[in-house]
Amino acid sequence: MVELGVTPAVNTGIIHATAGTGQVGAGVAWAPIEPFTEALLDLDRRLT
Amino acid sequence: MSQTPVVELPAAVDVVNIGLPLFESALRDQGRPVIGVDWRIPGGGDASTVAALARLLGPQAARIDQANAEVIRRLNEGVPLLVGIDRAGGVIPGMGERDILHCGPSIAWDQMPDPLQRSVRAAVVAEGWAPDVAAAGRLVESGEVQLKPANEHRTVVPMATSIGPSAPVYVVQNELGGVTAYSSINQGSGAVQWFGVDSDDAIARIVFVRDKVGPVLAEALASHGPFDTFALAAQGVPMGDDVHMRVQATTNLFLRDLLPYLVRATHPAAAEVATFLSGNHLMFLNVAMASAKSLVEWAGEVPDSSIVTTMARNGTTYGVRLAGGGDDWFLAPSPPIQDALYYPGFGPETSAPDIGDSAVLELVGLGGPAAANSPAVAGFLGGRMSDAIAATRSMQRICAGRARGSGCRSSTTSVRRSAWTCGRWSSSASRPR
Repeated sequence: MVELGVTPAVNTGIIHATAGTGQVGAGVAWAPIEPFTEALLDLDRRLT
Repeated sequence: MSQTPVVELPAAVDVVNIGLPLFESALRDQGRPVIGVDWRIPGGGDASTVAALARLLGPQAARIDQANAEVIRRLNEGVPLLVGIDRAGGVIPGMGERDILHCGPSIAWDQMPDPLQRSVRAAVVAEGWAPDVAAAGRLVESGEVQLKPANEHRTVVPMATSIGPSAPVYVVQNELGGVTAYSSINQGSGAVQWFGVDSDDAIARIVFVRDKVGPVLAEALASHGPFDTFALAAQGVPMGDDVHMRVQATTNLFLRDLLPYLVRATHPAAAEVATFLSGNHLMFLNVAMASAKSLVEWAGEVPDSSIVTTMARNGTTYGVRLAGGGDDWFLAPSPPIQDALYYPGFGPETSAPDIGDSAVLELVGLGGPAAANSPAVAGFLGGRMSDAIAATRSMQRICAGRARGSGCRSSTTSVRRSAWTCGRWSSSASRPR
């Protein structure tokens, strides 16, 4: 994943940011790469 | 003037372009055949990332591969069983009587996004700790309520859900792994707390779920006996469910199995609850989430693995954990939802960032990786099944394993084997196995 720069796609609903009115849509959210890169670097530290 | 040397140019050139698509498209635009290879610098070219990848794919590879094989074995061999419904405060490990469990990683009250704050306020009122949401907000601000990430307590909750100790939760046992996991009961749609609504209707729905839906379901489940939840999902997937944004088929199968026991329920609200359940096409979502959690919690105990066993968002922060990584979360700001369809009048400018624990489903091959089986999901990806298949194939590239069918499943496809879904994400290795 980190090697390819491809992150997981998560199917999800979308809710209103401020008005508390509930669902406004749905879609596919692609995860940011940074947490996985950090996890990779931590794994590297733990193993080597 | 000296003679210009004659250079023999080739009459035809077969071109393979690796990387920058500009060269490829330029040739194609000129009507020349070209093979394009989608390649980019590993790890974004960051030197320390590339060095780490070189070690993890090199001298450490065997050790990681062995750990990953065990993680995948656990994900494949665990059998989540829905055994009942119980009071959250009575069964969730580490949940106290003034705790609210919320989606995503740990977060301070003042960092929570608006929908989650509303959700917490609604939960506080439903618990009876405050008379209205304004008072609830003050109570939380004063530190009188403990806000805890559900994921750290064997629990997963979808979207902006937050639960207090009186909430009824599904109890899902992974007997092989010795792990029990939990999720809330789905509230349905409309003005509901899990969509970040804190109106009187939303609070009333929480109370309805606690006082009526929970007990009726608990009685029906007790009469029915344990459910093999992923055997149901395995039937739902070839019927078009991704068991995340589309759960209709699996919900219908579940309710069909429960039907004789719901009809025989003795609780006075049985008919009202049956009507509610019949109208909630996402009902099985939370059952599936708890089931997935029961597997990833067990898989997460394996040391030295590169596989992701926690993935969750609280609307402000996106967090992941690796198997064997203990309690260490890795965080980033939660992004907006990129491929989205909105109700009329709404758009990205008024949308909350990605939120919820339901990404646990993607970790076991449901949801995103199962897109190839779901025309409903294809609608969000461009509308064609080829788009959905492309999404599944893209996920396949970052998976560490494939699900395999099991003889004890009654259906011919296991949910974790359909259309190349695997959904075990490897942080380091990209090679499919």
